[in-house]
Amino acid sequence: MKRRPAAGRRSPYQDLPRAAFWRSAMRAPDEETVAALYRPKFTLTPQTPLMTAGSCFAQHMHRALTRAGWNVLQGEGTGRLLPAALARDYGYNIYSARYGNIYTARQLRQLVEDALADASHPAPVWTRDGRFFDALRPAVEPHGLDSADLVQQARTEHLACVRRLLSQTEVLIFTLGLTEGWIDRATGLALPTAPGTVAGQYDPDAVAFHNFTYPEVLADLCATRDLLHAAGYPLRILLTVSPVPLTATASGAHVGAATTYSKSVLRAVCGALQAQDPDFDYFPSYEIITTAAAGGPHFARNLRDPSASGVDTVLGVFAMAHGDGPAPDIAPPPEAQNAGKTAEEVACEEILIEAFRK
Amino acid sequence: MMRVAIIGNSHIGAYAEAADAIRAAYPGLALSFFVFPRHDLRSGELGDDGWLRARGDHNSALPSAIDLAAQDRVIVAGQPFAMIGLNALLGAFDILGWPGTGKPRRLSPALFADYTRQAVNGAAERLMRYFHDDGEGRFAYLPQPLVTDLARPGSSKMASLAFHPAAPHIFAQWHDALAAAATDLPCTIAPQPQDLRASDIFTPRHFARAATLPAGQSPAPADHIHMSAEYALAHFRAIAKTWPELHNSPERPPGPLPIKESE
Repeated sequence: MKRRPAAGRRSPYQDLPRAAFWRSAMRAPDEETVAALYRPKFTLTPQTPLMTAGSCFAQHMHRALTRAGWNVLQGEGTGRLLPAALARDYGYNIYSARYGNIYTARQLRQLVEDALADASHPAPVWTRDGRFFDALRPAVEPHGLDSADLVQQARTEHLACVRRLLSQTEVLIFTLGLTEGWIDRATGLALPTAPGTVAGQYDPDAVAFHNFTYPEVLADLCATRDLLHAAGYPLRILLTVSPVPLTATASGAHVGAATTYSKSVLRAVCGALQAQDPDFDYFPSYEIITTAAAGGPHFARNLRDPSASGVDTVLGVFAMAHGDGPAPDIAPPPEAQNAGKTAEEVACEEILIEAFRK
Repeated sequence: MMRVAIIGNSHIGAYAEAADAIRAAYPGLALSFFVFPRHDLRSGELGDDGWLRARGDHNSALPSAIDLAAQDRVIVAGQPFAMIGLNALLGAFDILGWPGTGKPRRLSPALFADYTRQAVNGAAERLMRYFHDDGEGRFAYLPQPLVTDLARPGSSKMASLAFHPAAPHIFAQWHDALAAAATDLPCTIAPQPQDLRASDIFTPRHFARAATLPAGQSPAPADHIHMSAEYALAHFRAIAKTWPELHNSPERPPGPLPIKESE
């Protein structure tokens, strides 16, 4: 039997919008509830110079925003001089510069430090089959270079491009991907991948596994902002969290639990910065892809990669919030159309909250 | 009678000038020519009937159509094979580790090699598609001849690259890419024979069209991009050696070339 609030009782939930309630926001999302997912702090127009960086999911963001006509800067591209697929194989035109995937906040901080420094720090160099690879972006040269010296030269040119890019950017859209990473013991630098994956050799004496904590991620993001502002680049940072789960964990935990830890830390940092720091905002890619809030979850059949429709939905929410597009098509999940009560609903006291909803 | 067509852009001029010498050397051979009016494939149209026809305005002194279906062999001369793209790429970038022009951004040699291979391969595939070439060897595609070292940098895409500080690297990659495309597709690409080269970058000066013209008749500026009838005859001989149907008829000495060398 459905319980109803007694007459005259008031609840802090009773005046809340539909987006505040699971039943309306998650089981039957509509334009109003989806719009409530993202209330941007920053005013963006299609002309606002944007820079993209981050983990794999940031590639989707970069491509979708670029195709939709947003002013996504390209500071190290190849234009139409190379076939698109070939350029991508060599790390061009994937992000706003050729830094490869930046999975952790520490990597972003390092990149900005190096780009703004008068002289870049020598980066670790890995080898494979007599070829040399930049350990901080090992995948951008799939065949490596002829010498370690050329790797450093290429890095110096890359950092010059990044510096120019930063000087032109108003908003950096940064997609946080992981808390787990590998630290080069000799330099203290965070690596994008473990040696031995793309190039190099795994040596426990040379690299150490590290799982970044909430305070570390928070500090790295704030330090990145501070570096940029101190250099005279008043960028604001729009954070997102990649919805893509960890492929594998080196933490010793189950990959599912490790994924939850990673995403939770990243999401919590985003929440704190969004709430407290005017230079940061959060865009809910994670929620759009992984939950039913916008008709999802939107995963491909491998249950790891976001689906094309999910990426479209992400872009639609972004465009709608910034006044540049219609609401995305939201297809309610099939179960949302089932009016029958579940066992959880019957037993859950939170149903009372729903009962107070106007 | 073996019917051979030589078609292409301005580079077929050398072969046209050598026509009588070629006919004299190969009496069982019927030669005909066709020039794309605006030098690229889009200015011609190959019909289902096998006729290649000029599109749009064309010089009325030149043949406006040719029946390619009736030809035993077709030589497509003067093809740039990615020279345009390479020139554009190197106009924007230098190459890491190679002598450069001071550009702030450089591509890796591996990327440049991959690009060159893909671009040359793509150019060969486009040619084969255009001519409905089944790869059986009826069509032979001739890359543009190397310029001479008297060519003016910038007077052609190839001349620009020939005077690039990294020209030895660039041309080595290009020649490799041509050979790879010929093998991989397969596609009959007839490269400039070694005895017609001064190096991987240049043709000997005496083969230039400019070198064959009397003083005062030379185009201004002097043409060191297009080659002479002597060059064309020698290249034709190299190509003809690969045609088994000609092996049964002994080659005769060529007739006199129309223009005597001035050097």
